[in-house]
Amino acid sequence: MPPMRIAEKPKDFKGTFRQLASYIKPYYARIILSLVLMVTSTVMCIYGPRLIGNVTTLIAQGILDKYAGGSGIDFETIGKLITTILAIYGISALIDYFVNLLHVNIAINISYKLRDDISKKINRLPLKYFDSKTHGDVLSRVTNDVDNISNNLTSTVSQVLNSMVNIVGVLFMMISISFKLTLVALIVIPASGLVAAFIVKKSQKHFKAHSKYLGEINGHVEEMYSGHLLVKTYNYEEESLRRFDELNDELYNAAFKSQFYSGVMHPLTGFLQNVGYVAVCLIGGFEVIQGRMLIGEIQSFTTYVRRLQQPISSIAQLMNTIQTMIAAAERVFTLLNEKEEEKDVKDPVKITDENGNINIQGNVTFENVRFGYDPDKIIINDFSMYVAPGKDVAIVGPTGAGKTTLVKLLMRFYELNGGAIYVDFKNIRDYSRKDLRSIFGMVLQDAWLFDGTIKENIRFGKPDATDEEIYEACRLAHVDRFIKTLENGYDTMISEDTSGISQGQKQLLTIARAFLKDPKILILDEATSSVDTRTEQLIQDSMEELRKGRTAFTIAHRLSTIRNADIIIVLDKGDVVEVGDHVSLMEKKGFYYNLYNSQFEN
Amino acid sequence: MKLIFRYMKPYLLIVLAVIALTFVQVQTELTLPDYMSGIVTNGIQYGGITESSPQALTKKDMDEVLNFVSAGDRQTILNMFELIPAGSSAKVDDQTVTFKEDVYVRVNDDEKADALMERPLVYAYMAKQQGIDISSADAENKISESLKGLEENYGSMARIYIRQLYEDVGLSAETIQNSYILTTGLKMLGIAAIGVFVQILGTYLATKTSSKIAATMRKDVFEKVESFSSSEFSKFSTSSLITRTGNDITKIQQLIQMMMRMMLMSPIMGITAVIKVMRYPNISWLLIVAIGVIVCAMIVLAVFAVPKFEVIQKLTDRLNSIMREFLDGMLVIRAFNSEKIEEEKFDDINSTFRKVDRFVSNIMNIMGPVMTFVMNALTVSITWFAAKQIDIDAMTIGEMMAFTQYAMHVVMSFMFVTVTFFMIPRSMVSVKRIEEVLNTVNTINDPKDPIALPEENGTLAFDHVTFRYPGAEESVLEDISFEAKPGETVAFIGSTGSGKSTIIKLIPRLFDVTEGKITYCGHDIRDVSQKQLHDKIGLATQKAILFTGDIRSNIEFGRDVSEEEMKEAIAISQSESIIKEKEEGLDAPITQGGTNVSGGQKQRLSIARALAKRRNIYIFDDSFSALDYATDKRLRAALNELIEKTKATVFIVAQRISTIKNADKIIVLNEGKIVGEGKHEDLLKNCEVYKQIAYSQLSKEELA
Repeated sequence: MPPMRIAEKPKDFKGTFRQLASYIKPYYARIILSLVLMVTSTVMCIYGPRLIGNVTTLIAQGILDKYAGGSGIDFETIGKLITTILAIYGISALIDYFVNLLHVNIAINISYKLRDDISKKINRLPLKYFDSKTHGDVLSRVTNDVDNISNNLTSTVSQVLNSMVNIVGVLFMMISISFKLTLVALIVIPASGLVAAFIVKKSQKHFKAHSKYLGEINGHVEEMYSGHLLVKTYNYEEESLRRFDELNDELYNAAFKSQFYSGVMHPLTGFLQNVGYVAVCLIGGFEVIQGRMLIGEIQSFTTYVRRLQQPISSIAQLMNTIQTMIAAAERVFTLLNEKEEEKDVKDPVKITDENGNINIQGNVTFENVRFGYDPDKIIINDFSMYVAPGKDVAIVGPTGAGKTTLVKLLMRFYELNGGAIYVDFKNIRDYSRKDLRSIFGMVLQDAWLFDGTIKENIRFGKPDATDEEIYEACRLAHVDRFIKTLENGYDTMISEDTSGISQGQKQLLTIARAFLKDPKILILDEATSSVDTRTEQLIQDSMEELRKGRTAFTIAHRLSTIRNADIIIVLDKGDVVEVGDHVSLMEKKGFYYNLYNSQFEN
Repeated sequence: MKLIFRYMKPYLLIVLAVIALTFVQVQTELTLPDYMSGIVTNGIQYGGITESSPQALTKKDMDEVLNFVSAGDRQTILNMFELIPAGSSAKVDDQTVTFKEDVYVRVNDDEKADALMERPLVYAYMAKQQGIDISSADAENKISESLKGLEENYGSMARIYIRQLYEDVGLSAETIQNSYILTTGLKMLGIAAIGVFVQILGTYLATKTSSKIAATMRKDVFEKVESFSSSEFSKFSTSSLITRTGNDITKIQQLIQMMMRMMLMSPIMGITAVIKVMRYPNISWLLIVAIGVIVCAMIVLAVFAVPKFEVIQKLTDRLNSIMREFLDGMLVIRAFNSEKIEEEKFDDINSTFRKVDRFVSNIMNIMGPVMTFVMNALTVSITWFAAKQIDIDAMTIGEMMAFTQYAMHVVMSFMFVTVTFFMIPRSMVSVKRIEEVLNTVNTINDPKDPIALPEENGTLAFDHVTFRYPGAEESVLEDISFEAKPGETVAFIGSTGSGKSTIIKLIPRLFDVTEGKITYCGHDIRDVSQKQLHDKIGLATQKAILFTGDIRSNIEFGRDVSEEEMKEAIAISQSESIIKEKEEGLDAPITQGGTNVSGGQKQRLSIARALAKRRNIYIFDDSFSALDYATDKRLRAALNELIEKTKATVFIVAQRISTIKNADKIIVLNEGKIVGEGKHEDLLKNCEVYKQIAYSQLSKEELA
């Protein structure tokens, strides 16, 4: 018994369907072919029971004839009929398999295409999009939603069609056998539908309760387990267990009731079917006695009655499936239809000279920059500043002050709401994104490495780098020695569960990556204190090394960095509150002064 | 499996009842085709006549029949009957008839006589059919000539003749037939009704039991996990324990429910159907062929497709992990202009996935058409071979129809049992995971006769404590000794992995020491009940954790906190601003995981929780890291005041030198060993590790 679920409804069924159709379009010819074949096979199959009925009649008449001293059962004719029926079933099985092949392959191709489109789309979406979406949400569109579409797209459509052909065909056969019996059957079938609908309606409440309490109990378990330390030390076990028991009781109740209702559906509809079956046998029997029907026709008819019930109940279920599938498709399409990053300008500023060398000095100018992640909540109101090549800029402020915002704007991950940013006195919007980003090097606090060897991860900074260049970059980043201590050296695989490489060492690897890229402008995010002392020293040293001769923006946590910076940008709650060097800011006795001093006071 | 049986044991009677009910249900379901067969054969073909000797026949007909009976046997037959003269009435087969001629009415049953009558009845019938004059001398020879090859069919033929005999008597053949069909139909309905009743009752018991078992099991697992110490907890991951309590239990519930319904049903159904089918050994071999074909198809699937399932799962994981890489590394990927490389990587896996998926689907798709064909072909073949049996009266048409239905039941049951075999191992994974939890032996237990600790503050001492995680080779802490007196603040500092957080966890016995001992007021903490020990301690964890509820419930956390204590805790932890900010104040809701308050607020509230009850020991495990410097400073000042007053002992683990500068005792740890102990100024002078940490955070002038 499939669990009855509450199907989610798509918001725009038609629109989504239309877009889905555009994915199916290349396969229209194949789909039409498959549908024609499918209908053929279904019709052939529907004819089967009728023929078997005829065989039965022949046997019945034959045997009576035999008793009356006649020639008996006509095995020759029966043999011919049987061969025909077997052939029909055989051919229709082959057609079915062929149709399945067509459908599945179309579905697989479409899901491949959808996944491919999503993967490309993600790289074209503005970062802004991901601020409001969790990674899990995007991931579930790639896997669950695409899977749902892939599993159901072709099969549901063909099943609906199949069911309809079946209903019409079977009804036709039934009427052709006996109109009276068909009427009898048609009274019983809707009755079982009504019973089913009634039970579904009754049980819906319990199913909702079930998922509600399941969610609540899972929430409670999650909380209690993640806070196990506290539960233990605060002697909270009893209280926690009491709450668990409460929820568990409710869950038990809902689980039992919902399961019972859905379990009762089958016997009840089954009973009604049996009533219909008996009615058909009875009335059919009388019809045969009165010579209005042949004995084999009862047999065919009962087969048809059973066949009719199946597509009717499956259509209801299919409608649910289609709805969830369209809802899944809708989620995928909302992602695919999302507005992309603004296109690059037509004639971007060149960053290389005639010889193909990057020709950038590293001047950075902020001019009346105005920005908010949400345009209604501007966090940078009016920020202007000039940074000469080679200068060190430290960005400081309490946690959550939006220190990374500035660097994100610099690399044009977000578009400004007003003002402009210039690199070498040219608006960053006049560069192609690719060129602009190639000017920058970036080391983030939470070092990002992908599944692959250390070498591959470092080469990421410059795909055409030689091995020697990579080693050199690692030497500069003070990580060469460490890498060599690893069993596989530069070929050590890095993956989620790699042990033996600490967070700090990972950051060193990303510094090496930046060295390899040799950028004009640097963006550095210092590690916080979760790194052990020795590695921390190494990180600071290599960052220092990296800063030499480049314009650098450092998100600073360390006083030493701040004090030595040429320019300090002080942020609070996303706003730039002060700009200047250490001495001038200290003299000002403003926000920076307080922030700085609070570290030493007791 | 043992686990499931253990949990089912208390419900043994119910399970037995369900088995009995299932048995009854199967019997009812499988009798229906028999009755249908009756309607078709007896009802329709033989006009409702079920016996092969008549209840009544006219004297004329009897005489004809007796013609073919040897003289010696005649009396035996006649003894069964009473001759009723014409004009009088009698009740025959529930019909009251007034006879127009003399009629023999059956008064007693005699099997031997019944058997004696069959052949003569057929002869008389044949004579009528063929128009043979029975008084002629060679009549008997002529008749037996036409009956050649029909020897097997005498029973059926006799019944056909009986119908004619009844008509001669004046009985309404139609009434007999209709009443037979109707009674049979009503019986079928009655049986179907019993079936549905039994089935609903069975479902009721099965669902109730399976839900109850699941609830009990869920509770047991939860209770067990709650009883775990951190040592057992760390053996599993938190997320794994969550799945075990949630998902795995749900799966087991489904398994039990399936076991109690379908898994019981299929074998009973299968076996009963096989018994029914075995009545016709001459055609039941068809089933073996059909099942054989299905088995072959399944083997093909098992050999070619099933191994690829794992590959598909792995590829799905790869797709996911690359997509995750996309998302996690988005900034870096874009900063390094590596979008193309990443897209190619994704396409590589996506294409492989498509290839494997196509291969598997193409094979898996064989199953559907093969199954349909086998079922259809079986029906057709049954008709063919049954026709041969019907021809020799070894089977009736109704029986053939019934046989077809039984055959379907056998095949379906077989399919189901097979599917079950595939499914059980999958559910067994969940069962095993639950067993692992339930069979875990708790390592930290209360002593038999716990010592009661005094009310007042005492000295907490580590005495040559060494700690190793169970099963680990390396010690996390080695030979740690120190003392913390009432009113003292002891701070721990060191790089990650130095063991500073582990020390803290040993105090409330979240882990037990491997060697040495920890004493409080001179008593080994292992001699005290955990509850009492915990009641001495207020703890704020490294990662501030808030629970669903409101601010008040989070600070109370199951304890009885007075308004005054609440106020004080909020004041010291600098949480007043948080509460002021909220409209509902203390009753402001907290969502799961405390997602509706900021990191700093979470930390302050979790500190308030630690302070809400007066404790002898307070532990702050890096609890000040998310606070800004100013708040950190104010909080510590307020905390000092409290300790001044209560003389409690405070343990602080910290990353920032500034947080612990003024501690009474700073313990510097490196790789699990104490490398320095003393006050800030002393350590700066004589502890190299401390100096390194300090210099990395503050410049020399600032430290001076």
